[in-house]
Amino acid sequence: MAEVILKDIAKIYKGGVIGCKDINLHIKDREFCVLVGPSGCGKSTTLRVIAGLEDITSGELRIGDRVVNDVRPKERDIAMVFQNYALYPHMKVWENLAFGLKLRKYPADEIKKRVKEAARVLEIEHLLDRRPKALSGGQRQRVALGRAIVRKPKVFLFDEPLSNLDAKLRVQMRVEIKKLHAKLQITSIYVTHDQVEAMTMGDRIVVMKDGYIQQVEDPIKLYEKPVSKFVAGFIGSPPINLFKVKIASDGKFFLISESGGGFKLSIGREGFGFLSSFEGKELIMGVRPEHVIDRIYGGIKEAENTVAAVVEAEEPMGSENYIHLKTQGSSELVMKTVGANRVKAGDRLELMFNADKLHFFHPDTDKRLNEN
Amino acid sequence: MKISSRNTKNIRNNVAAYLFLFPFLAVFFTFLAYPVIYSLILSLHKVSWSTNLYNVFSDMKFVGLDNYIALLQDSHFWWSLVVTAYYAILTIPFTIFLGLILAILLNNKLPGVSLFRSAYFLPSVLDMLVVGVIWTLLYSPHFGILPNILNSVGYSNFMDNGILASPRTALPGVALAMVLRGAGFGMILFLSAIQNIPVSVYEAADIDGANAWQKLIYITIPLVKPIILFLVIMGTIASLNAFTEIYAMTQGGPYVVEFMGKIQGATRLSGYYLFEKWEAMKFGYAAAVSYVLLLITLVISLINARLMGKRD
Repeated sequence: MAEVILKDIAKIYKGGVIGCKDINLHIKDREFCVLVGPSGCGKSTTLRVIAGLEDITSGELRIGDRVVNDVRPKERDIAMVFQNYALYPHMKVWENLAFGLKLRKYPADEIKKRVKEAARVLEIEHLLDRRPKALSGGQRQRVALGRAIVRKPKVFLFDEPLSNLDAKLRVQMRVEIKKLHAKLQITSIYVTHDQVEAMTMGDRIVVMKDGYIQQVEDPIKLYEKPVSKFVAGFIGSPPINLFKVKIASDGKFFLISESGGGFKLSIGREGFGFLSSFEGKELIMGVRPEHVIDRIYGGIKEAENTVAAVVEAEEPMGSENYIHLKTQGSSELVMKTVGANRVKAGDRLELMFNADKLHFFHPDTDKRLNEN
Repeated sequence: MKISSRNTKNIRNNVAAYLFLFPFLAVFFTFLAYPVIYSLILSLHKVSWSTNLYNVFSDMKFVGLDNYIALLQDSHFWWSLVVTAYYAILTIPFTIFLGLILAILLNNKLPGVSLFRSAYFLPSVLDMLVVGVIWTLLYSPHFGILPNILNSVGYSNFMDNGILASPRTALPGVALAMVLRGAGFGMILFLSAIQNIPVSVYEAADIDGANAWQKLIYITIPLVKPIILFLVIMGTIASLNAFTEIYAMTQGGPYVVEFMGKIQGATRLSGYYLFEKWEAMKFGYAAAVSYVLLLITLVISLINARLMGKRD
């Protein structure tokens, strides 16, 4: 049980390449913290820094109550699960599980007890005499998890542990890891590039880009109030729709018009007062696919502020349908609707945007401008 | 009708396949299969220097297993096996050990690694005869570098006779030259095997608490075991066939050792002994020697494979 505190952590490689920089994180005891971002964003580097597999260039790293900057990995009391499982190929499953305990000179009885216990928890008791080669991907990942839990470490580190599994197994293992965390209550740091994994698993999510932290937030707040266009675009599937828009005002309403010529919206001042300083300028407007409404299918008789769009394709998922459209101003957008709402390419729809859920981003800094 | 047309097609395919195989099969039967079988026949005959070797039915005299029986009573042959075993013990473990050490060192990302890799590998490309001659010069009395170095640190015993003329140091001297020549080959094999081990396996071991030594013992060596087995078998075969290095460096001498009541050459390995018998035109006897060596090689290789493969 331990907190992990990163203070101004930086990892700069030879030639000035930034691995990660200005990393300030306070991961609480028993928290499940997910680091997420596109490849090369520094999430794995940050995890490897915590593990001690990479030296820290500057900053201070604490695990529990001690600074571990110069402590070797084996003395940090951590366990790590790797993307490619990193099982010892020549050892049987139980040897894989017992290896760390053996090296730490645990008594044989204790090793046996712990290996059996871990195998029972992960339901791999029947595999103990096999070698990794004879296991399926999911089974290997269980063994890798087992190797982590037998040691009863202070902190679990997961480096994209589900990336090598097929989609179905990934969903299943996702839940199992969450259950395991609920049972063992060990501080966990989990790296993934998959935003769905991040959203579903994390107590808190750390979004990273180009080596820097973009936002640290719980999943729902992260989704509802992304700090930047990048975070808004990275979190959510299908991703948020972004439009270049021009802002004007008639004194009572703000007039928002698509830059390429197309839809024109007018929205009340309440909650959007920040727009007044952007009158006459261009902004980026974001609308999540589920906040796009088909007027006719929604049963709304008459409405202002509609957006005309032509259907380009649909992706029926059964329970829901993703409809890809193009506006008159040639912006592309996706609408998420119920599965029964079927359309054909070429259909003309009248769309409405949920005004409460509009996001505005600064065109240069990409920062979110909304007040709430 | 249908079946027969399929048959002709099959036959045509087979003919084409054999035509493609023909160049290889021709070489194989002429230079490998024929000599192997012919030498087996030879080993059952008494063949004199005047025998027409190209006419199997000429004056070769069938003697059954006489050559083999004579071999069992030949002290020179037994001695050659003893020396060969000693040579194998001197060369195989050290070649493997050195190759592994070099591979581990070169697996680090150090500047100039590729230069060292080529430099260590180069000797194994050189002909053994060349290596043998170079080391004979290094070992030679009076002007050889090694006796001179030993002399400068106060050990002058080798100044007058060199290293290869002393019965105690002759074979280790040959072995040292061959270990240094052969280690590069093992190094390349080990290096590629080590580079095939995922880095994350070592990282997992780091986190599990293994130090450098434990990683070597518990991870690297078990994972390069197939290479070790390969090198042991190749080394065994090389020891039993060893000829060139002896021919180049010692010609089996010095002939000063007494064994089973006869004077023996301190470096007369079985491969060299075989050559001597052949040179003396005792072709039937030489063939019998080669067949016994083949048998020994097979047995040792099988035992090796069993021992090394047992845990997999």
